[in-house]
Amino acid sequence: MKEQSSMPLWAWAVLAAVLMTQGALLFRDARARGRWHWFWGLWGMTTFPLPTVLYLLLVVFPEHRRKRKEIAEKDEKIRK
Amino acid sequence: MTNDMTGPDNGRKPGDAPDKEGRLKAEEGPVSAEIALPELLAGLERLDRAYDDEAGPPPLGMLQARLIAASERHRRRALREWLLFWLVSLFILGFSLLAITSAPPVYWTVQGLVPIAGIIAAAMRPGRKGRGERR
Repeated sequence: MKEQSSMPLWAWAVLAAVLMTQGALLFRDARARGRWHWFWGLWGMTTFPLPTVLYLLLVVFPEHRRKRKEIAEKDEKIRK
Repeated sequence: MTNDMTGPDNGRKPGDAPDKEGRLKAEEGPVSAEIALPELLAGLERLDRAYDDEAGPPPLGMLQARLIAASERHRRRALREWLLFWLVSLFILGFSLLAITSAPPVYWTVQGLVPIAGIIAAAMRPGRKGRGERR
């Protein structure tokens, strides 16, 4: 069978390692946050870096912002 | 004009009927209380004995054992889920690498469809109010 890709073998290995790492990290973090861990983990196994970028944009940053807002509101209440 | 309560009729008018019931009640009051109090106490003691095991806090050893069992159950479930994830992931990774080498259009179509499907699923999901979550 003719090799259809010009990528060397080591590049395929690196790509597989990157995808596995990304998928595993996304799965673990999403499970800890309770946010669709199977979806993020499995999608993270298929491509790079779109799942990570979208995970940061849709899950991590909004949650971070919400927590900061809650802390600011509590702080304001305490000051009053 | 004031009522004189010191007379033999305790200030009662001549036409008034004697208050027998009132007097009886006044006499029965302390007696019935004396009878009822031990009965009440005995009933409370019976209740205490009946619910002693259920109402009292469980011993520390039992609580510790329950916590350890729950933690172990949780750990096993997480491990099982992790193993299942890796099993499914290896298949998906293999298919993805295969698709990107042999059929790139299929791979990129799937890559385009996955986020769209995710967005549709997120949009169709009930919001915080629908899920009953409160901030």
